[in-house]
Amino acid sequence: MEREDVNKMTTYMAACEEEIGKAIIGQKNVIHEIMLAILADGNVLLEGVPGLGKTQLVKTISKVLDLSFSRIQFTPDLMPADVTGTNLIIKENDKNTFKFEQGPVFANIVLADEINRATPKTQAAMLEAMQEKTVTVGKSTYSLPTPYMVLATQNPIENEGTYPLPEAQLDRFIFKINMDFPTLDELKEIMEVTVTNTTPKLNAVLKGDDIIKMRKAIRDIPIAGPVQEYALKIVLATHPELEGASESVKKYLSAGASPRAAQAIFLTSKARAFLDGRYNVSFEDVDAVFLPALRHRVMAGFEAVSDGVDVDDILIAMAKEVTK
Amino acid sequence: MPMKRIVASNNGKKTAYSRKNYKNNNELTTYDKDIIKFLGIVARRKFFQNYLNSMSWCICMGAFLAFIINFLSLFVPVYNADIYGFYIIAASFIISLIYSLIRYPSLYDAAMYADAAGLKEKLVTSLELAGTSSGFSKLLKEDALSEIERFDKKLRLPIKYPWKRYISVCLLFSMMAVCIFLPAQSKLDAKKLHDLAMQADEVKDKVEEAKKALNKAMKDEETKAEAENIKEILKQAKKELSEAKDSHDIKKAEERLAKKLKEELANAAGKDNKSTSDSGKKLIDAMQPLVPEIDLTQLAEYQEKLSEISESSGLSESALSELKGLGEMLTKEQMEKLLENLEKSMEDGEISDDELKEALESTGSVDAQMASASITDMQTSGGSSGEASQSSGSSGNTQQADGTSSNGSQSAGQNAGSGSGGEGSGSGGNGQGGTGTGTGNGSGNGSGSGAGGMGSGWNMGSETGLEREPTGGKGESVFVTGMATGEDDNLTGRKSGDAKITEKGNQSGNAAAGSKADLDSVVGDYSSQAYAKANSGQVPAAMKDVVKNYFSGLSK
Repeated sequence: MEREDVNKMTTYMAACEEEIGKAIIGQKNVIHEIMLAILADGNVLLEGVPGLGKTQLVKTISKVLDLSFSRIQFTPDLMPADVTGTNLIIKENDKNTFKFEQGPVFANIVLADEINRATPKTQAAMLEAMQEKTVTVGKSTYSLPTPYMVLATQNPIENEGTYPLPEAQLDRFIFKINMDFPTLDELKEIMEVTVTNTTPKLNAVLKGDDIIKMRKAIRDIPIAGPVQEYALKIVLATHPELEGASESVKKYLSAGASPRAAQAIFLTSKARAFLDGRYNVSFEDVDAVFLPALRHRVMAGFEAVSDGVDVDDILIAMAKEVTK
Repeated sequence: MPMKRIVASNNGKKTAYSRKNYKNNNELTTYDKDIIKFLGIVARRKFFQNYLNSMSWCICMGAFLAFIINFLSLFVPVYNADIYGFYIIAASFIISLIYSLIRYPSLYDAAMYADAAGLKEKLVTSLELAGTSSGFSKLLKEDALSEIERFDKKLRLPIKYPWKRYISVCLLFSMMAVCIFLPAQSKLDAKKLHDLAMQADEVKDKVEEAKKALNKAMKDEETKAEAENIKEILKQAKKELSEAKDSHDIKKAEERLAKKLKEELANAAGKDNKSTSDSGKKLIDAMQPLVPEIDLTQLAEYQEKLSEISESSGLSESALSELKGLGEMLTKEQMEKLLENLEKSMEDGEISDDELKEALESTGSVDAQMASASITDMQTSGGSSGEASQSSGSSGNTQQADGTSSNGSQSAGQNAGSGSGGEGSGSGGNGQGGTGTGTGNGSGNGSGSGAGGMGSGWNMGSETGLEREPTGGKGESVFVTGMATGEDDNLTGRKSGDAKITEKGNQSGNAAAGSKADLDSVVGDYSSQAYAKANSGQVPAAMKDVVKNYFSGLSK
């Protein structure tokens, strides 16, 4: 890849973020992290209280990237077939035949809204789609469109009638991004955009092919040995059972991150370097991505819950103890 | 497709980034060479920074230690504390330099150091990708080089001087200087102790050397027994030197060592002509450094010849013993003359007392004359051993009434007395050539008995001693014959005065037996003679100071 190509792509990505910013006020970090996840070919779990614009954000991204979009509202009575699609009996030429009717999962960007409200059975229906980018119904396996990405949302405060996502499924999300409440200025701006007739006009800046090309290029970005080591040390440091784990990790975490966490850190670090116009990964990249990559992959223990300690705080403290 | 790397993965080992790995590497591109060149400069800068840091720590520690030592030297004797302090500080400089050189930054360290200054790991990644120029590798290196061009080393890698530590060092230096210049008794004590230790070490070294030589001599069966004895003597001497608390102790230990050695060697020489055998010579040579004032070989030969003469001339054991002891005091010429005269005397059979006396006096040595008197006295008193009245008073030194003694060389029996009624009398050390001290205060009736022995010892009466007027040639003399067996316990009477008496044999004096003279009139002559003898080597080296001190005391 030539320098011009790289520059062009990074410019496009910057333009994407700017375009998304027209519809989504504030949340710049969230947008940036979602872009990293897209480039790293991962799925994202968005967590935030209702009304922060999670659905709007996903819709905007799909528009700007010129990708197909579908939304699944997860409810307790939602069935797996409602997500993946099902075989329907169709009468053609006086013959009844089975025809697979694609579910909402067949789109470039799928918004799994309030994913924790569906039963584990339905949640599990998403597993194959998220990891393998395929859907199997009966004996047939169907490929999902590329680029493919699931953006799931969940509400952190309403626990009644919810089914917390199992660890296996959480591990499929490359990032878990927390959406913070907007600031006063941001709120003002949101009001201006949402309660008036002025609707921002969004342009598609990139195409699906460009994203695929960038995903390929990103994997070639080199990571120096010391940086690799640092990222891996961070992952290992989340394991309370390992020798050398910090006191806070031993006290508050009951399980550490899986090797997928390391993959997530590596890939998103590379994506970050790419978006920053660099051809190598730095410690700074690792520092920037380890938190969204790890926070849903570690399990807080009883003491963390009883002491009211946030997993983010534990991870930040832990990373400070890891030497570069 | 992953890029080829010269350094595949360091796996945490910085050695993978050493210059050696890059040296003579033909695969390096121009970019790589430029980057490595830059890293070399960074490495030097980092080395300097490391050195400043380690030096400041080392000097801080060194200065603290130096200060503690100098501070302690105010209360505890520490010899040369100031010099040690400076040595420690100098050592800390050197240690910090060595430490920094050992930890000279590798290219990896330099790359990490520069990357931390804002290059975002471009250099360390470029270093890993050295030798590759495809895809992102080339772009990365181009980026890295353009960053390097803009890289202001002074601004982005500034040398940080650890001022706080330097200020601490200055403070510690100042406090140390104060401690150095503060006068203290412990500093004087330290010097004294050091001198003492040096003195002891000097002797110990000699003993050690002698021991080594002795070990060689021990291998020889002929001298094994003597060598064993000498080894024991040396062991004892070393122990005494180690336990010495002042220079006097060292001197004493040295004297005792010399004395024992001489005795042992003299005895050895007397047996089986060992002085002339190879092994005997080796033994003597080994011990010579410990008694440099005496030629042991010559002494051994002298004693051996004496033994030969004794065998053929019938000299008594006691006379032979006296003559052997005399050897230590005689010069080479005097020894030769004595032996020559004895051999001459031997030509006509046995050596008579007169011949022996003549031979001794012919040497011109005062010690010989004293020995002559002693031997003659012994011969005479030999028949009346056990009678105190005959043995006591022989070769006696009459004491002045004021406690000082006048020494006289007398013939046997001339001053025979009962020994009773003497005041300030005491018994001296007994034995051949030995020195003894005794104190006797007060008055009383003393009685003793002795038989023909040889006495030696110092007789140091203090000025306050009391002594009765001599009456009828009785009892105003101090016995110096070593074989006298009178004991202090036999003395009865009231104590008066603090006269201190030390006896020494082989003295000669100007006073006639039993006569009295005013101290002032004789002390000058005695002193000058004593000094002359001391300086001429006629007095054993170990006793020189004692003699001089004694006479200088009298003069006062």
